Amino acid sequence: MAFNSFPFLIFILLFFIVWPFVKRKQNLRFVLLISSSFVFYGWWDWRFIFLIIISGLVDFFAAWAIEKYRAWGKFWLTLSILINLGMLSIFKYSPFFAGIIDQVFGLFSIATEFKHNLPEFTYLLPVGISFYTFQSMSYTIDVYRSKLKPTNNILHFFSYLVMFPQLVAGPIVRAKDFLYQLKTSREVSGLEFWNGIKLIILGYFQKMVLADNLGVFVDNAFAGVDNGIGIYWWTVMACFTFQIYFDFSGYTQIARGLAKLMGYHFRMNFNHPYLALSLKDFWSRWHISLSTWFRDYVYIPLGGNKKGLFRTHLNIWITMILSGLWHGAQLNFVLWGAYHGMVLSLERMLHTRFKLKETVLKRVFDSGVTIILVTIGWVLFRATSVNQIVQILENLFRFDFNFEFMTIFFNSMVFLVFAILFEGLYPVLRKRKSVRQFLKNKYIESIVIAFAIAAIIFLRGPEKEFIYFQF
Amino acid sequence: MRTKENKNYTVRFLITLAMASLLIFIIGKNRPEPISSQILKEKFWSDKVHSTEKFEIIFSGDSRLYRGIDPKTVSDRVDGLSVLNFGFSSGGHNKIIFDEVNNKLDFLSKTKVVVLVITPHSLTPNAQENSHFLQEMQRNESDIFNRRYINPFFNFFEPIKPMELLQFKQEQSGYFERFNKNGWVASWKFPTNQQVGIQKYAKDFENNKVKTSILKELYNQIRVWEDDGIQVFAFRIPSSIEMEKLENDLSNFDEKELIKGIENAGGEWIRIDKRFEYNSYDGSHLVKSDAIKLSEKLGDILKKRFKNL
Repeated sequence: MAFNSFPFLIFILLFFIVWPFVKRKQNLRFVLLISSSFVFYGWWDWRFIFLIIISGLVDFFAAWAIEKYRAWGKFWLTLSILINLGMLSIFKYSPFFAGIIDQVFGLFSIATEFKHNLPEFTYLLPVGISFYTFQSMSYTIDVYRSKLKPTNNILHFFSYLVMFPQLVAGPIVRAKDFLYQLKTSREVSGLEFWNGIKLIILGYFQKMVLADNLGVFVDNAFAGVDNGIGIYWWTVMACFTFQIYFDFSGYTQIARGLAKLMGYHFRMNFNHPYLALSLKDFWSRWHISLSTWFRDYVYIPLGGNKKGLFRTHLNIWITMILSGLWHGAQLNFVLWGAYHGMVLSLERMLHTRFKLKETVLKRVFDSGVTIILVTIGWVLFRATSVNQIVQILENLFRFDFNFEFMTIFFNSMVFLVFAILFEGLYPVLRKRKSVRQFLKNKYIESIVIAFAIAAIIFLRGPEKEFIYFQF
Repeated sequence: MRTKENKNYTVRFLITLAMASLLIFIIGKNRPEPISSQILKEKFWSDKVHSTEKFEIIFSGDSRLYRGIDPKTVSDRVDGLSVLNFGFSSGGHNKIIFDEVNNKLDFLSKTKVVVLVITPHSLTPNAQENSHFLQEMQRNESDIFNRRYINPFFNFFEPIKPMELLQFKQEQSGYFERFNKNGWVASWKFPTNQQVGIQKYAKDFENNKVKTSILKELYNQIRVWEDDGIQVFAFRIPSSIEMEKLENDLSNFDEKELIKGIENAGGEWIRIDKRFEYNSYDGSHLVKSDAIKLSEKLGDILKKRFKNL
């Protein structure tokens, strides 16, 4: 069930009615957490619960075996990774790779039908499979690297793996950050409760008011309805830039807020990414739990920047392409990853050649260039085919300033302005102490939240599924 | 200390909730009326199809009917007889609808009247599919229940578009619809465009023309109704000069032949005087004010011609 659905409201209400009675009981609270999470996940398709259970059991026992039989550690780790990536490949990538194999054979005039002959279940994508597979794998890898002691309590492990707030769209929680939290009964202070509520309201506001309303214009444009050129596509892409951010960030804020109400803490997953001054900076602010995962488990093991210039650039490219592929088994995601790899490489080369003095003007320039590069990247991410990518990029760079579409999509334009103010106001607020203090005033804070709740009710857009559920 | 702090935050949370509730109540009470309410639209169609209420006068036809006749106005002109507007998008005159009209007609009443609202399109094969009616008819039970009884409760919370807020109490652009009891959708559009309907129908009539077999089925049903003591009226609903010309030229529709057929079957034709004086917003459907004007006129005509009042 999705956070923005009526069944979820009933579910969460029931959960928090029962939670206070079990939260101090060692194993009972984990039983409630795990069973609720399975109800939450099974609401989409109960059959895929077995996939999570298999993935979890494999890693729980692999980690246990690694710790017990260190000499065989590599074997258990490889086995765990093969099973996890195998399941991910079958359910997420098999149609994509079968299609590529068919095309390769086609080049030699050999007709194959691997894609056509795939079993039907390989076309069903279990919600959030990439999130929980990566989370599960990181546990085993950390145990293998002796960075983490494996837990002997299977209820602990499954509570960490399937905890419903983060199960389907992250953040990808690391076992070393979370398992210790499960050991003790968590008391929720008044401040934590209040912060949890604020995060939940903020998340719903980002998703339902900003992302869903911006999505109306974006969906129309990508469906080919009333398409324009030039400024039209820049506006569409600006809307998508904010839509995907608020959609995903909204989910994460709700997840963090819910965890806080239970007494648990998830790390921040977004840190105002559109205020980044370079693409490298962007990746340290965007989907932080995934980018650090790739840094720790792919980029650094490949050698990172320690094996010479060529290998550094190659490692960046490999990491970014894999990160693109993580999002989905489609060529556009691979291209998106490659594009980011290319720009990160170029950026690295430029930064080593030219070291300019930090000035306000340079910061504005860097920030502008970064957001434009990121926005162009989103074309590759959002498009559904290579043809569409080419078409949109062509239209994006055609000189046209016809603003007529703004009257037709006036409502979305209002939310675009809201979105820009929402993210753009942040640096101003952050720097001015008086503004910060004013907003921290308990009465002002309550009024702002009350208005946010009213906005969620009356300014919500047409209900849409969270974009990152498909990954 | 900790307990005091917790209490403070609980109070803050409750105050915030109270403020939010008050705000929601104030906004909900003073909000601009939506251009077209999705919740009320769904309730309207489910009620029209699934209500078990019986009526003494039933108008049957397509979208020109459900936007063009107000049952309440007609009822007021015919001494309060119960009136139903049983029009559907692209509705046709055939057994699917005739059976449903029979279900909704009050056979215990002295006055039993069916008014067939004729448009050339309603006599074409495409219209005989009655897909809009069937779509509503075939909804599952829980969906119908939600649409009729649960969702309207949330109408208060229906979203507001920024455009509606900015142009509050001014003339806004949009396709306005108000869903009334007993089947009338009071409609108007700003800005109006007479060509919208013309272009749509010109394209539709290319491969979809009035068929004799459909007319025969209609005449047979009129005979059956007349034999059962049901008075049957028919009339061609006003649209626009351009639309009538297009329909007469492209659809194979012959009004004189139709009148003859209906009258031979025992039905009565209603001639609407000055029928081009009614205003349409898209060349096809009447604007709200003219729908009321037409309903008044029809009510007066029907009252004069009822056999059993």
